[in-house]
Amino acid sequence: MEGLRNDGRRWNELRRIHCQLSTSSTNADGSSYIEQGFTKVLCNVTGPAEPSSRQKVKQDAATVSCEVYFAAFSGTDRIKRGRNDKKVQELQTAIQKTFSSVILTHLFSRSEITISIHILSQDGGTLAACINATTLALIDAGIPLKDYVCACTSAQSTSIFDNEGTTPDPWLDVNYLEESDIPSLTVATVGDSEKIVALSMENKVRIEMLEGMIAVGISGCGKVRGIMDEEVRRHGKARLEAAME
Amino acid sequence: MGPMASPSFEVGRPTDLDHTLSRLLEKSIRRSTALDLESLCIVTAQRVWSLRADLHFLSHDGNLIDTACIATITALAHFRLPVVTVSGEDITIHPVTERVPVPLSLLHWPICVTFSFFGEDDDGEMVCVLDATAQEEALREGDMTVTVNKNGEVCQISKSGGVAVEAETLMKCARMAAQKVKGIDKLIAAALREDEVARNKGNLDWLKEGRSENER
Repeated sequence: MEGLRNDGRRWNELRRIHCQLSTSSTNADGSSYIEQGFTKVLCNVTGPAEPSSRQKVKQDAATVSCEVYFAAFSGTDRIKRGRNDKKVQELQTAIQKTFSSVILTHLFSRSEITISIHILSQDGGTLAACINATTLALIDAGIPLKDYVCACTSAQSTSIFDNEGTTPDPWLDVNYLEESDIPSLTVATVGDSEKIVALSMENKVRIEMLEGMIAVGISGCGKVRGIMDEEVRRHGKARLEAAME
Repeated sequence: MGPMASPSFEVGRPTDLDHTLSRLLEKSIRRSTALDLESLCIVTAQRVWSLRADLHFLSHDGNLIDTACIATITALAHFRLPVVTVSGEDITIHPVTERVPVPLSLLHWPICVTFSFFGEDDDGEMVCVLDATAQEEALREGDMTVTVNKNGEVCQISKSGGVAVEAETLMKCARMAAQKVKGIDKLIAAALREDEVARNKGNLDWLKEGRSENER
């Protein structure tokens, strides 16, 4: 089939996104679960609470801390990633920094907001799924945010049927196979402003290709935002109705 | 990274900056396959060279990432590996006095360029600054590091958190980075050439012979 990707999608199609709020309401202030294709992430948020250590106390704002746990069975190979694993630490800092700038931290001085993320299954776009899950969990916890933070991946296919010398369309929302094959990037935007709060790319790509990749990524973020917003409204309505009875 | 560089660095406690730095350098140089790892192989699946780059920061006045990247690339380009001959089971590492050591095969020079963002001005235009000082870094609202080589290939981009920036501004920064890198690349090449000439004063013929790359 010409023009279709290895999982049968077109270049601008997202994978199925399933999200849920308040998945573990007994042991966290806010929690969420998101599936993007076969990438599955669980996120718990606690706080604002008293900081766990003295160092984390900030006088004028809340501290945001983030813990990421990779399940050993989440990838194709069984790998146990400890706390000091470089990939884990990079994910933690990326998420922590992203959300420190989006949460209205000045409202909760001398307190701590803890985000803990469990990655249950990896199939490409792990960082994006983590960011989306965190946004939902923070909303569930009732922590004031500037707006939704939505993340999406995009990749530049080095197409074989490219005769006219034009660059082929970038692919939206890559899976594991595509991610390990062609250069991809993760982009996160705030609300529907199309402004980028986080951007990360690890592969080599020509600078001319970059613009298209970012543009496709941003359009994906908009779609993800729509899906997330729908779920938040549905969940809110269901809760409200339960409270009315 | 010790207290010599800046009083804010403590001994033995790796900071966030530490992690970001080592991860960024690893992504920029190792993952972009700047160094041909196969050339470090002596006997397949048995013996390989191990290279290690140690960075010591002497004084911190901002932009540690870019400086560290330029230093690492220059060091790698300057480094010479002793010649090894393998005959059957025997591996001989020739001392420097016996055979002229060869340079590493660096495929390209990825160079980091960091931009600092200071929020929007009155006209809604993002204020961005290149090569920030320590004071500017303390005041900035966001940052982005782009790694480019002189061929215009982006090897790595990372912007985590900070102020939200329009995609257009980011692209402008990336293009500017590609421009700047060409200049930095020339600077490194000039410094290396200068060093080579100074080291081999009056003995340049011998140097040419010893080089692995030639006019061909």
